[in-house]
Amino acid sequence: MGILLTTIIVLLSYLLQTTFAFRIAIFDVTPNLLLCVLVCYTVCRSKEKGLFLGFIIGMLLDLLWGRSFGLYTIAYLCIGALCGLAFDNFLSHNVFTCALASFALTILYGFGTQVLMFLTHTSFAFSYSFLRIILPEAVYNGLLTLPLYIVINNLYAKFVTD
Amino acid sequence: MFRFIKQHYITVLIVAVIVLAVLAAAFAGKKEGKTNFVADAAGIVLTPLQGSFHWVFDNISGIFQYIGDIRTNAQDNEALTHRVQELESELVEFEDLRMENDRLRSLLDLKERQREYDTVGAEIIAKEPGNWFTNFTIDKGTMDGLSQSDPVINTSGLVGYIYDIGTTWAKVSTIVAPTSSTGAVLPRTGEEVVVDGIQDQKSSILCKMSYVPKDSNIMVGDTIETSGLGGMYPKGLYIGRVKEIQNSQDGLTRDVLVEPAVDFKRLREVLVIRSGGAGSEGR
Repeated sequence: MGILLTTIIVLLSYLLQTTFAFRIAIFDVTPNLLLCVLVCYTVCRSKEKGLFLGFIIGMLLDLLWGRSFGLYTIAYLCIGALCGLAFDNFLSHNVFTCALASFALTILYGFGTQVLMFLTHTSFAFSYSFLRIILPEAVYNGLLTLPLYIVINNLYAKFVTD
Repeated sequence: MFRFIKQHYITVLIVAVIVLAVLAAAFAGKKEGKTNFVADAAGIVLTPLQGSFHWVFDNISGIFQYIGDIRTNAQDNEALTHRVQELESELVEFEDLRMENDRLRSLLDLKERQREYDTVGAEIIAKEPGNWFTNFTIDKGTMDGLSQSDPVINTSGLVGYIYDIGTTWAKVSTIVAPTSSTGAVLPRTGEEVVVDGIQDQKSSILCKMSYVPKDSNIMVGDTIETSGLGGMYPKGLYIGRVKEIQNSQDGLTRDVLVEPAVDFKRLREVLVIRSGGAGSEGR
């Protein structure tokens, strides 16, 4: 039941991310639903499961969108791992710390993308990227995580017993 | 989880090896002009779902847009009526010019350049997750006669090219993506340039031409078309207009900002130029 629920949540998040997220863009910034779902899942379940789900989400994105295989996989694996470590060691499990984790991990993800773009000689402007993309996306993800955590937590509490 | 792995390590090992083998086969066995079978299968399964989700959200947002537009419709109507009257009078003048053009061409025995492309209409059903790239998925694939590297346009101008294709879907890389470079020419001056996608400080949807010589005759408002060099795009596809000219930091060249003809924020449908795989030869 847990696997089925996780599969449905991930697939639904992916479909909403690719077909709906750009319609709710604020100042041309779309939220990263998959990252928010990963953070919420890691908090609700465990760090090992979060790590594994990060791997799966990354693989899915690499398969469907990645030009260089493995980049999304590594990125989301790291997000799942960092989230799990943080909540295991020093963060309490509640909706506000979850939103804070989403905020912080979005900024880390954005920095990682910037480093990658720099290494591949892709043209970008760091100050513009940070102020117009990374920071707004982090705030957006943090706010979106608040209701998402409540929904995911209730779903797993109701349907999954382990 | 680690206890589980310890107890059933043989099973886990076998499953892991099978998964790795499938992945290796999937990514190593890419056929020319088409994506690997795992990605294709995933695309075939997800494309109808994405199409359905897209249709639902498109109609919902259409309803909201209709309600929002009611207020401005009357004003737009009046302005458009006035514009139509102006255009009708201009049309009469242009008709005279066209007839004179035809007459002069026939005198010089010049063949008119026919630009008829074999195109397929496609709808955008999904956009790449994230805020870094503007790539998207369309609902046509190899089954519709498309192939990798086929140019993608719309009625306004050049959109991009197909970088990955499956049976019923294709992924398009746009000219405004930060990784994109397009060979172009300025018809007015004949100068050949390269148009790169960027994320600019002023607007998120712009292109840039770098290393333009300082003595170039480029002006704001100049049109830019594809040059046809490199085999990526056919010659003459409209890219956009010069928006701003800046001196580069070294003072020896100029950086030129280009406003694409296509409104990528509102792009919903595109046309794919079927090249029969010819477009991939130059890559």
